[in-house]
Amino acid sequence: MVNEDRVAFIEHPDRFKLAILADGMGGHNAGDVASEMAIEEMRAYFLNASLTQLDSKETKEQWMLETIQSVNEKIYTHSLTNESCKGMGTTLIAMLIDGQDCLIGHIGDSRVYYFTSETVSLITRDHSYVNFLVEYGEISEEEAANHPQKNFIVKSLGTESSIEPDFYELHLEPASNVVICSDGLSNKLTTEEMAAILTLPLSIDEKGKKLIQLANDSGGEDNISVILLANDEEV
Amino acid sequence: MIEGKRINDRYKILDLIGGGGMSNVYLAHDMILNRDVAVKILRYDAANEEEFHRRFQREALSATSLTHPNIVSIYDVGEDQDMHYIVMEYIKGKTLKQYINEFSPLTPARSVQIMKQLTSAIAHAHENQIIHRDIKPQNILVDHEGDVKVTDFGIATSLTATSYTKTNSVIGTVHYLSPEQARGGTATNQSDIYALGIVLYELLTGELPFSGESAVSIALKHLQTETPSIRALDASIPQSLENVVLKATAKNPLHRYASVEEMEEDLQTVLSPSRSNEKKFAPPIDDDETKAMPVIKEPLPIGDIANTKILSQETGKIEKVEPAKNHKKKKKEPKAGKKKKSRGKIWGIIIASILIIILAAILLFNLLSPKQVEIPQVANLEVDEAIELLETSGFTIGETKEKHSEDVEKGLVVETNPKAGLTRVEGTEIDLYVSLGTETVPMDDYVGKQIDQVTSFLENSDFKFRVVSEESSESEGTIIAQEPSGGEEVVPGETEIVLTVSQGKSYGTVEDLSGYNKASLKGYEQRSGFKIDISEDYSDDVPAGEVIEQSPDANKSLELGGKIHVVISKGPKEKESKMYYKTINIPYEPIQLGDKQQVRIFIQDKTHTMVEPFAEFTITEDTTYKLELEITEDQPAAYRIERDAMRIDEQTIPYDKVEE
Repeated sequence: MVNEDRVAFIEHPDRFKLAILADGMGGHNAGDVASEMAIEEMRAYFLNASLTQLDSKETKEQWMLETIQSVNEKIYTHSLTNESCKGMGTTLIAMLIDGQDCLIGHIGDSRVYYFTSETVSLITRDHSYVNFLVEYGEISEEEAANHPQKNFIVKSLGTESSIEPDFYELHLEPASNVVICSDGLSNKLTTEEMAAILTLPLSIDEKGKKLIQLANDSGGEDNISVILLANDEEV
Repeated sequence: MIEGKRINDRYKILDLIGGGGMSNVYLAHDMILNRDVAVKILRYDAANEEEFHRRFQREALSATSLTHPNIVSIYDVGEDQDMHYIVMEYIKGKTLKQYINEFSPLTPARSVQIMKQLTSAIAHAHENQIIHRDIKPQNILVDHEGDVKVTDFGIATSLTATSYTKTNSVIGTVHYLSPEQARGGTATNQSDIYALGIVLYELLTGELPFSGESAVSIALKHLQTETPSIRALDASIPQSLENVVLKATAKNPLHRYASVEEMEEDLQTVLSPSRSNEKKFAPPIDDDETKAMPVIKEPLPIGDIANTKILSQETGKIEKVEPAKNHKKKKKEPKAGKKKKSRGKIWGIIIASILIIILAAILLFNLLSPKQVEIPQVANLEVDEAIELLETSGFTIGETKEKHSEDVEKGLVVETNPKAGLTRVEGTEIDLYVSLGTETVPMDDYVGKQIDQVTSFLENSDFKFRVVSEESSESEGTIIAQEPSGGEEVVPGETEIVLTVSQGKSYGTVEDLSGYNKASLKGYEQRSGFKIDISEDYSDDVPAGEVIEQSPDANKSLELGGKIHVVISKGPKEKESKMYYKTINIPYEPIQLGDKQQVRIFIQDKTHTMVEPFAEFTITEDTTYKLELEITEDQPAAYRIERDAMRIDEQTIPYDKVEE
C-alpha cells in the first residue's frame, strides 16, 4: 500500500516551529502526491516567512490563512494539469508553535488531541460527513462510528479552487502532550487508550511507537501517522 | 493509457466512454463473441483486498442474473491481474442526466413513460432480492429509441462498505440519498423508491429537490425538509403526479409505496382524467415525525411516548387559555363606551353591569364546564400504555375491540374511536382498537390444477406469485408443487406463492453415433440423458467394436431417458469353409541320378497365401505329398508344386467344387 501520509516538524530561524501532517486521498488519485506537495509547499512558505509575519496573533492567523490558500491553489492546479493526479487531495493539520502558544490550521479529518495530566480534549472538529450529522443531532456517536460513509470528508486541500480552513488556538500547560494524528490512529484508538500510553514512564519516542503499534494491532488497514509533542518537544 | 489493450485476451479496449470517481467505462470489443461491449474498470488498487474481492464478485455476479429490457445486462465479471472489471451490454446513447440537461423539463407524459420503465426494472431487481442502492440519472442510460436502462446494480455497497473508504475520499452525490441511508442505515427496497421519487422530481422540473453547498447540507435537507412542491414550479403538472413524488419521497419509509410494483401501478393511471381531482398527498402524522420535527441535540429524557404526552397536554392548555383572552378584550369595550357621553353613562353602567354579569357567567361556565382536550395519538402503543396515556389526558376508556391491521403489529393499538387529533371534552369514552395482526386466509391447494386457470385467478387476487418449471411425468402445465402449501394461513398482500409447473417430458436430439465404441457410448449416455441399449453383429465394413447402426436414427428427437438401440460390430463374420484333401505324386526326375531335387509347395486357402512356400524339402525318389486345404466360400483355394524351380503341378479349387 502506498503511504499517503506525510509529516514534518520544521524549525524557523526565529523562535517558531511548525508541525504539519497531511493524509492524502486514496485510490489511483495520487493521494501521496497531494500530501507530499502540501508538506513541501508549507515548509517553503514557513521558512521564507518573516518575523513580522509571524510575530503577533493577528499576523499569524493572516499568514496561515494565506499560506493554506496558496498551497491549496498549487495542489488544485497540479491536479487539473496532470491527468494521473485528477481528483487528488489531502487533509492538513498545520500547527504553528510559538513558545507555549499554538495556532492550528485544519482541513479534513486528521486530528489534534490535547492531553494534560487531568483532561483529554479533541481540539479539531472533523470535516467529515458523519461528524456534521452528529453535530446537527441527526445521528448518534455510535451510529457515526458504524456509518458506511464514516471516512468521507467534505472538505479537503486541493480538490476545489478555494478553501476555508478552521483555526484553533491552544495554550500549552506545563507537562502537557499534543497528539497530531491521521485517521489511521483515531479510528483505532480511543482517547482513553491514548491517554494511558502517554502516562507510561517511557521516552517520548517510545510512546509514539507504542501508539502506532497499538493501532496496528487493532486492524491498522490505513496509514498511521502521529506527531507527538511534549510541551514543545518533538518526535 | 489502457486503450488498445486486451483484457484477459478477450476484450479489446477501444475508447473511454465514461468515468466516475470509482470506475472508468470503456467501449470494448469482445473478440470471442465479436460484439461491442462496455467494460467498467474499477479505479481501485484492490491488489490484496480479499474481502473487497469476494464482495465485488458476489454482488456483481448476483446482478448478472437480472434479465430485463430496462436493465443493462451484465455479461461477465472478472479480473486481470489487479484490475477488476465488469463487462456489460453496450448502449449507444447518453445518461439520463445528460438527457435531462438537454431536454428538461420533460412533459408529464414523457416523465411517466420513463418512470414506468424504471419502476418495472427496479421491481424486477427487487423480485430477485437485489436492491440497487444508488439510483440516480447518472446510472440510467437512454438509448436511441428513448428507452431507459438501469445499470450499476448493487455495486455501490461493495465499494463503499469495504476498504475503499479506509482512506479518505470526498463524498459522492447525496442528491438521491434516502433519509435512512443518510443516517447510515441499511438501504432497503424503500430506499430505491425514495431515489425513484427524486428522479421523477428531476424529470418533471429539471431541478433537484434538495440542493445545497455541501453534501452535509443536502443530507440534512433529506432528513429534515419536506419535499418541495413541483406544482409550485409548474402548476400544470397534475396533482396526482406530484403525489407520486411526495409519496415516494416520504421521510418515513413506511409512508412510501409498499413496493415498487405499487408505484408502477400508480404510474399506470396517474395521468388518467379520472384522477384529475386528487388531493395532495400528506404522510400520516406519527410518533416518528413528532420526534423528528424539532432539531434537538440532547436526547429526550423519557422517550417518544412521554414526548407525545407533553405535546398533547400543551395543546390542551392552549385551548383552555384562549377563551380567557377573549374575555379581556370584551371587557374593554364597555369601558370605552362609558367614556363616550355622560347621558349614556347610566345606561352604560347598566349595560356594562349586565355584560359583566353575562361574561362572568360565561367565564364561570367555562371554568366549571369540562375541559376540551385533544385525543392523543396512541397507535402502535401497548394497550396499557395507551390506556395510561388516554387517562392522563383526562379520557375514560370505552370498549376495547379487535381488528386486523397491515401496519400495526399484533397486540398493539391500531387506533381509537373517536380518532386521535380530534378534540373531545374530558371524560369522553374512547374506544380502543387492538391489532389482530394482518388478516390471514387459508392457502388454497393448487397442486394438480392447470397453471392457466390458476394464473388468471391469482392475477385478480392480492397474492404475488411466481412460476417455476420443472420436468416431470405429469402432463405439461400441471401444477406439481406449491409454496406455501395448501391450508397454510397466509397474508394475501405479503405472500408470494411459488408454483412449480410441469414442463411435461423433455426431449433431446439423438446424435449420429457412428464411430462410437462402448466407452464413448457410455459417455454419451451420461451426457445426453438417453439410455443406450447395445447388441452386436458381424460387419465386413465396420471395424470391430464400433457402431454399425442405431435406432432411432441421428437427428431424431427422443424423450430424455428413452432408449437408443445400437448395434456394435463384431468384425467380419467367420466364413464357411470346407476341407480339401489331395495326395499328389511328385516324381523324382533328376538330371543325374542321385542328385537331390528341391521341392517347394505353395498353397492358398483360408489361412495361407501363395507368397511364401508352405513346405520345402528335397527328394531322392518319387514321393507322395498329402495336401490339406481349407477353402472358404468367398475365395477359391489353390496350390502349386515346384521342383527345382519348375512348376510341375498347379490347380485352383473353387469352393463349390469340393464335396463335403
